[in-house]
Amino acid sequence: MKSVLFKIAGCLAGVTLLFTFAMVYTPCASAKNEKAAASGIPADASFIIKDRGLSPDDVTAAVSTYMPSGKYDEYVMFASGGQSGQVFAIGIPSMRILRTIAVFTPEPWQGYGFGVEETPLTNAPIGGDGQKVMWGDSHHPALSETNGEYDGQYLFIGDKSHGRIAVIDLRDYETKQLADNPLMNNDHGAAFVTPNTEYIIEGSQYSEPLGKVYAPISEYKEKYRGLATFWKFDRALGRIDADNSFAVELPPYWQDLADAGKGPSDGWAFINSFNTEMATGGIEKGNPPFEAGTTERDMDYLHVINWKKAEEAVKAGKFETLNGVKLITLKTAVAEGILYFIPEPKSPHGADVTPSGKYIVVAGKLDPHVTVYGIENIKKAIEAKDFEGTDPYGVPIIRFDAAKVTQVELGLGPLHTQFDNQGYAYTSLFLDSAIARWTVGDDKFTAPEKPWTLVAKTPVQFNVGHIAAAEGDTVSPDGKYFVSLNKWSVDRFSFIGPLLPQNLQLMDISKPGDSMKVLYDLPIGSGEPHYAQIIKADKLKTWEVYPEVGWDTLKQQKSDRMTLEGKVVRNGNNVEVYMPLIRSHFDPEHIEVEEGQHVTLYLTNLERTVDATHGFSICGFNISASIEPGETVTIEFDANKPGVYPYYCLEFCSALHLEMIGYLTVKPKA
Amino acid sequence: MGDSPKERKTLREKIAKTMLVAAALALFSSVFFPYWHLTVRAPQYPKGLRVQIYLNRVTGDIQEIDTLNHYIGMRPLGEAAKIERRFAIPGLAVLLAALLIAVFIRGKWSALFIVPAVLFPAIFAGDLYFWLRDFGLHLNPKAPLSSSVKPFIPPLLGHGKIAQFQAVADFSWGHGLSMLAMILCVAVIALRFFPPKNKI
Repeated sequence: MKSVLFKIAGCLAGVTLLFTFAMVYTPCASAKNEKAAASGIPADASFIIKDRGLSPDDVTAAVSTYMPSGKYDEYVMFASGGQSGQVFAIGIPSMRILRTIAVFTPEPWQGYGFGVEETPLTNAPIGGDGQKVMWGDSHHPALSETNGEYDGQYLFIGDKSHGRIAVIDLRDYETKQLADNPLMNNDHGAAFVTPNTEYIIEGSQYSEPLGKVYAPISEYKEKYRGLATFWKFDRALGRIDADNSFAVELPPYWQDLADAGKGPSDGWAFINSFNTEMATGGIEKGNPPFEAGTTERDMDYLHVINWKKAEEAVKAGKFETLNGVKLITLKTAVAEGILYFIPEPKSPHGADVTPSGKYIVVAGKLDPHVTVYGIENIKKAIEAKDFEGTDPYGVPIIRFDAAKVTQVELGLGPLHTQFDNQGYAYTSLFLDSAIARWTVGDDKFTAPEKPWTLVAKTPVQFNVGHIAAAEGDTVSPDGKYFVSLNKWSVDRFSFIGPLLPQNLQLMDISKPGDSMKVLYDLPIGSGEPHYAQIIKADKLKTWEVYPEVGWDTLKQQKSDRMTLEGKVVRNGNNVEVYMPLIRSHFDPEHIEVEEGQHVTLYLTNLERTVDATHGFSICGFNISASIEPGETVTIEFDANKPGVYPYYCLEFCSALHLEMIGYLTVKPKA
Repeated sequence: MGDSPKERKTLREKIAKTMLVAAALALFSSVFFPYWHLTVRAPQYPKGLRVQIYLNRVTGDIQEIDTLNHYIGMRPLGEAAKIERRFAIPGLAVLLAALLIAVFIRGKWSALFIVPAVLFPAIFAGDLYFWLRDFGLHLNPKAPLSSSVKPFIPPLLGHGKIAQFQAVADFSWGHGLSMLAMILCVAVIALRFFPPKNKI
């Protein structure tokens, strides 16, 4: 009898144990292997191909770029927004615009420039007209680098129209700093970074009297100057450190694009120039116009700057201070061996250092060649003082043939050069509207064809300016994808009025030889992108929500202005409102003030859920805030006009979004 | 088996003692694992939202679940089982102490020290059900979605549906360990109080 009981107890124990373990393995959605039918095209697709008249190349292009819902792009391209003053983040290969990053220009969706204090735009400089500068001509983006590789931490971009550099933090894709150059009103060779982001290079374009002062054009040669600024970057702080930055005075030539050396050329910077004629224009006075006067000479000068020596000179106190900037004068630059020139075919455009850092490629623009210089040749020539003379300012000019490695004839209007992992270089041909693929005689990557030869040309539509290959200006380019940033689109898209979009064309460069294909045309209808850089998406470590509730996004730390509970603090004429936001209400929902009172709002989004952003606007006020999960923002205003002003959430945050409102009542003075 | 009945009895007792210690260990370890979890899924939450209930705490996407629950008038999860959570650890310590006492006494009274551990998993489940019922049935009638989401009892085990959310509830490792302790205790009772009859 008892043995039966024993057996029953044993069975019970066994069953329960099984049950326990079954319970432990909770049912989870089994990840089904969703293998697409790899063989053959479905009948439906065949019909569509025929119906739309697609060629085999079209079909290949379509399947190369199509991104199924929920799948992410392999690369992200950061393209300058040109006159929009912004930066576009674009997925590659899908070419979908993922985001516009507000940089120099107010942008209401991001709450950038409409009342929120935690943006650098509140410190925008005062322009020549006495007004705050509220836009920029964003030109050349530069991703921060570690050992010559993109590290995905920061993005910098220059504003040609006001001589500024912006710092964007890629943890939240928001602009943190707009560094205004105190010496110049314009730049062009910006931004370019040294291999470990020690410095951000900002080269001026149009010469001006340094320090933003007056000098008549008749004193051009004496008073006007060019400038190369080396902005020190404090990576831990995420800010340009103006105190540890310096600038090098340059002759009044018009400096153009720049690049920093790497590997054997680390420590050097290269800047092209045009108008070494020092033409001053004046078509209305019967003088040759600039376009003629600046192109008289056959050669201009590639500026070669030894920034490590410049850094030493600054440490040794060999600088003057102008408007707070440590300025190495031309005289010092020459005496200390900081600045050299090398002749380059007239009015060139891009100066691009090859992945190995051994060569500098200068694209001719008005000359059908790219001219390749070798850093070893340059160093030897400097050591041997192999100069062909000096310019009028005493800068030594290295003998052209001593520095030159070779010249490769590519076609008409070569502008910019990028590189891949197969040993090819790519140069945009503006006049030919084509991309030239040619071989670099570099030991780092070796193409099958013989070095320094043109391999193929692929037409693009139309008037290509900058180009960007995947990580194509780093020490280890990825190849695979390439984007041609075309200035004119002419007939590529439906007409949308006389202002036509830019055309960004994605190309496949993965196979060698004459095989480059255009895959996709992306119209950009909101600005003219200049340069772009393409980074592997997995290098970007972006926050999904801010790390803590109460985050000051400008300082990237917890704000002392955050609150979990709504409260109003009245102090004389000042009213401070601490207001948390969570679906779907503000707290408080009534803000009662009197006419003339100064109101400060501290808004904190308490949400911790991805995409649970709340917006904030007060009807009748010029206020727009975007408060992302965890963010705290400050908004200040004077309640000068009596009335009743609803405030509401600008983002459709929930089913009760319309109910997320409050009233600001401004009572007239008795 | 050529052993005498006395020797067999000693062996049984040795096994019982080992099992009691094992049960105590299992119960002790259960503190570190969730006893129960609930996952809710909706189109806009592809990864789902999770609540894990430990003996003395609740973890997971509590803030988001509370935010969503306020629309249907459900109280914040932090207000549930406050007393139970506060006394869970001391209570468990008493249970463990009782099991260890039972190691050293083997008379009839020792059953009294073992039975609480046998009942424990059921007590946990019962209490959890009480709170699920209490929270689900007492929704604030003035909540925004009170007209569309009527009071309901969230699932203790298995599937449920609340508005656009599919809920899946299940017991978890911690509870499994407490069940293991229960089984061991049942076995001890069997060994001690229901010895097999002499077969010869």
